Amino acid sequence: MFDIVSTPIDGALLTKEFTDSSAGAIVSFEGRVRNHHNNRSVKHLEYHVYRELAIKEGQRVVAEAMEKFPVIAIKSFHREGQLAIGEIAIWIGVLSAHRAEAYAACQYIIDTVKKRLPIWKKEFYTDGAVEWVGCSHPGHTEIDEDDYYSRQLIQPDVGIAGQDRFRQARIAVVGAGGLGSPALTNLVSAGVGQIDIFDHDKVDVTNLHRQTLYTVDDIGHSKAEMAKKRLELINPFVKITSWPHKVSSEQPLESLQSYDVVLDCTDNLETKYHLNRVCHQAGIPLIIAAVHHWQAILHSFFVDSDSGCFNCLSDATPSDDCVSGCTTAGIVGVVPNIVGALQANEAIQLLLGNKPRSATHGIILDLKNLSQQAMLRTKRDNCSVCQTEPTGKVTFEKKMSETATIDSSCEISWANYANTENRFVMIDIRLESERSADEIFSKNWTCIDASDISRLKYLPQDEDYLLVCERGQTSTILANRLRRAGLTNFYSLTGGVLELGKISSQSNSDTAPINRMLNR
Amino acid sequence: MERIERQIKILYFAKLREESGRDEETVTTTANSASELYAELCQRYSFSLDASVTQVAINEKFSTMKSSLSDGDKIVFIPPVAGG
Repeated sequence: MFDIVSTPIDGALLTKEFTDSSAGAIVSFEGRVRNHHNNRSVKHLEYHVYRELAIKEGQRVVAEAMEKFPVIAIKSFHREGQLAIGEIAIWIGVLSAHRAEAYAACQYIIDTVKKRLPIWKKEFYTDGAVEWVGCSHPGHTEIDEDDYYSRQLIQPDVGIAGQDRFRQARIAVVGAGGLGSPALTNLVSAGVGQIDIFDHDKVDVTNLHRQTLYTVDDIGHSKAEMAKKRLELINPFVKITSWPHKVSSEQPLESLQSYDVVLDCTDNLETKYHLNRVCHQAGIPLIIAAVHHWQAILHSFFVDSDSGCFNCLSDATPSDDCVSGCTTAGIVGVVPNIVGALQANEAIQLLLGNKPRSATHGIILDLKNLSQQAMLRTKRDNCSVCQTEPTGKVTFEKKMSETATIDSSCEISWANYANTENRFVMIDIRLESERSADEIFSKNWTCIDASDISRLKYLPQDEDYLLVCERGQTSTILANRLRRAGLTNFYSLTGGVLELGKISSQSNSDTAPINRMLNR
Repeated sequence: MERIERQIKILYFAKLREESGRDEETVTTTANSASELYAELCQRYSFSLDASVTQVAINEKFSTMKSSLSDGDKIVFIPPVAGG
């Protein structure tokens, strides 16, 4: 068993009471708080624990140790909260028939717990300084990335191709407050490959009713850093970078050109206009939202459109004196939580190649009666921002089409397939609706849905598998994905089933083996 | 210039909604343009925002304050909003 406790651990008592008459050995380990770290004098420390996950993960570690080593029983406790010098931070006890396995199991548990459990240590030094130490987030290596997204993968218009588009995207979210919290949570859990968080603020108690990324323990700490820490626990497969500074002309967005979308989740006009300017110039889509009481406004600006930019919307650039933010006007948390999630939705539509309505219209929402007004935008002739032509940013569509063709080494053409037919086990990954019952050539193929990646992964590895889909795109993405996971025995049939129709209508020496195969 | 009376439906948003004390209303006005109508409303409700920073949409299309009005138009005045 494993548990997190908030009261002092009595090691001697635990050892005394942990007995079994078949046990010839007990190995117990006590991790204690020491009064120094890296040549600094430590006064006391605090353990911050993500309780639910830590207990679950700790129990899993204990179960793993029981599996690996032939021991009788294992008990372990980890402290949370404030600890004085000399107190026990972790206690591990292992009962076993012989000492060797008991030592090994104990060693395994302490090493693994330190690596995997979501527990953070904050040291308070005698000189008054405070520091987080050893804050690397736990790597959930045993969680399968494809399981994580499985419910998303089975939605037909997302699928393996959509998930791959999310993975290849990099999004900057400016502002990790009321709008940023839900926007970030949704983008991170959807599996957007890289996320950059910009926020110069610290978590304040008045943020907590709406900024759901943070807990009371985060008060006083950098939002960008606390958001990163929380989001890494939500989805360990996303690369998250925190930038704890204000975005302005003096401190620009880092790596601007590498972003596929920028989300403006800030609460001030100055930053909104600044982002509009730099994103327009760099040719990067920008999704802007703002809330006031029950109302909200949402715009997506895709530079190459005739729908203008944020600056086109009024004759003069308003200053921040014109607006009252959440601090003075007041806000109920549910409003930014809905609107920030909508920003994530618009970004996800963009990544999937859809054009959201907010790309051409300003959307005004009234959440008091759930009404919506969509107002068409047009470019303003004398707009100072739109007058400059954007530099040639590679659009997400272009980036995707370029990367999709990079690794075609897994592709097998129909002609090659016809000649080496017996080499492959054919896997039909089409949707049921795409298959026709009277197909002869596919009658011996194994049908496994493209979203059922875990089933594909556990196919016997001594066979070569040729994946077939409707057009050959999904199969190539899927084969590449499996190959990245080390499964180089997966191939993709070029052009898919549609290609076969084209080939079989021609008749020459190249298509002869295929036609022979089809008529057999 | 000839003053023609027009019926205009106005929707207010954010700060303007609070200052006017209403979500929407239909007014009869002789204003020829959005800016003239806005000036009229400023008189009535003491709006604190200058017309130049206020966005206006006429019949579901973002327009400029100079745009002329027709009978039966639906106008939305949107002040700058920044909360987040």
